[in-house]
Amino acid sequence: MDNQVDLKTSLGSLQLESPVMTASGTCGFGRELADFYDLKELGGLIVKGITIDPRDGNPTPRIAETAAGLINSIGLENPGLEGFIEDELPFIKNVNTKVLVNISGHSLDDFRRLAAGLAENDGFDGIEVNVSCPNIKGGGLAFGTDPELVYKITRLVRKEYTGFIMVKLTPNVSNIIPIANSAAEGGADALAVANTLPGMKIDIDKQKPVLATGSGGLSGPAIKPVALRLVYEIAKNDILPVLGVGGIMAVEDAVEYFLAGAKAIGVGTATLVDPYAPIKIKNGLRKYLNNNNFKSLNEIIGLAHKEGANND
Amino acid sequence: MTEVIRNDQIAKRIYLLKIKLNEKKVIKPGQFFNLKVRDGESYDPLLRRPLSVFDYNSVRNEVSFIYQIVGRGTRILSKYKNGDFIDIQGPLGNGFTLGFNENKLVLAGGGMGIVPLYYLAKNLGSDNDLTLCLGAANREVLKPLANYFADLAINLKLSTDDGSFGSQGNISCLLNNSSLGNEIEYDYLYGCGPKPMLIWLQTWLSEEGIPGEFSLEERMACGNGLCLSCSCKTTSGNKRLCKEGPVLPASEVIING
Repeated sequence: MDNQVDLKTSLGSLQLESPVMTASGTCGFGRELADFYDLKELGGLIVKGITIDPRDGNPTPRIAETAAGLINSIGLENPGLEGFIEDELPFIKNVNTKVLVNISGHSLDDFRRLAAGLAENDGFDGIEVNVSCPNIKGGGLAFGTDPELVYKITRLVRKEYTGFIMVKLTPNVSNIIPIANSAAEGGADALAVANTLPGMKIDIDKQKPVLATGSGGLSGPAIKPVALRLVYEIAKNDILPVLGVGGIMAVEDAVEYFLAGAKAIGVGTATLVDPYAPIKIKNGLRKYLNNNNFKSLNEIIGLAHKEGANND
Repeated sequence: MTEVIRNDQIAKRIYLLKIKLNEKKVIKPGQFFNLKVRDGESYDPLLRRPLSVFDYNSVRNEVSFIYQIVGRGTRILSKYKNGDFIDIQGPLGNGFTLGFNENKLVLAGGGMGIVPLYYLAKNLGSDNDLTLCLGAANREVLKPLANYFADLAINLKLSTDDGSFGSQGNISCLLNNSSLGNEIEYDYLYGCGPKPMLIWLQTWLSEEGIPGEFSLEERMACGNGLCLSCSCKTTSGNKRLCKEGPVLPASEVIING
């Protein structure tokens, strides 16, 4: 196998040795995957979302399986900002790949405080801002559905933190372009597209929802076409560099995202089925590029736009 | 991929699956494997299925599981035939506490919770005094499971909800054994079974002042501590059943937490 193929890529200011990252919530804080392989094999790690205070998460059952999909309602179980800095960051400092810390807030001030708290520390490479959580003051609607709130959150995080900022967008909007533009105007460096889709499963024997919380976020192959299209739309509008996330199980899925214009990809649910999935996808990518006579990953990024669609 | 060498029905909807491992493993009683069942190349079902170890033959390098068909995954699993290959991950989890000597140990299993107790009973030192209290809904479920334990030198007590096999009642009547005329003062209890049984056991252990541990079950996705699906509330914080569990100290578990 020819190893000369160049897999290097970047998400704006964030340089990646290879384009496969692990999505937040599917790789813990890195310790568990380190039992399987050297983390430097990954382009980067986006660790479990943290909140200001520690959270126990939702009652169980927290997951339900659906057709080629997984609905989760973990409820952001995490050690909180202080716990993260004390117990997890020392490990992360020694991880030999790019690490992004995912932050989740339930108010604008939560995001500001999280960014400020992280900014006082080093040992990680950037922040991923999760705007898919409910805005408590806004009646529980996700921040990420309102362009103005996405702008405000990004602006607040940018004021506190000078490093790399990626905003993770929710797919649950009728038009994602204004939201993506808001994140750009607020000072984001990149966008992660997308998050889970709201979904539900009902147990027909017990006649009630499977998840203790009723509904949750759908991930896995079931949502890939949805997220892929959003990546394509944002790339077409050339707003910010995009990390493509959603249902990437195998190299073919990853290639589709690159062709749609993603600069890098996040593997999530696949890692839960096979911890080696991100590595297999990376190796498969090398093979794909080789077999198709490309010298570098860069050559295929956005290639699907060249011919485009009939009405592009 | 590992080879299926047996997958036979032993009772209604209950199967014994035996797999030949590719390499020698150290497998502790109470540990589990995460099996990927597949319909061809489809991503459906998507997740692995956790099955606790029923038995392990380290000489032949064969691991056995007993499972009940409860949904699509186990239904597809039941169609695997000898010579088929299956993708398995494990052993996973912590397993039961071993190393007791000259103790009076009681193993309490309810329904499919009986399964992990077999390999446990085989691995507890023979100088211990073992009592096995096994309960299930009816004869059809209990008899084939209980039969496996017959060759182990243990005190076997059986009960069914409908009285069709063993005494009628549940685990409580087997442990509250004054009615049986031979009160045993147990040193330690291992429990595995449905939540109502574990709730009862937890109270009983605390009243009797007996320490013990439970093997617990929760909907699980990764089995590797990544997703936090199988989080269990305990008096010392959340524990991941796939990583810190599935066996946890009986006194610490918050069962309906």
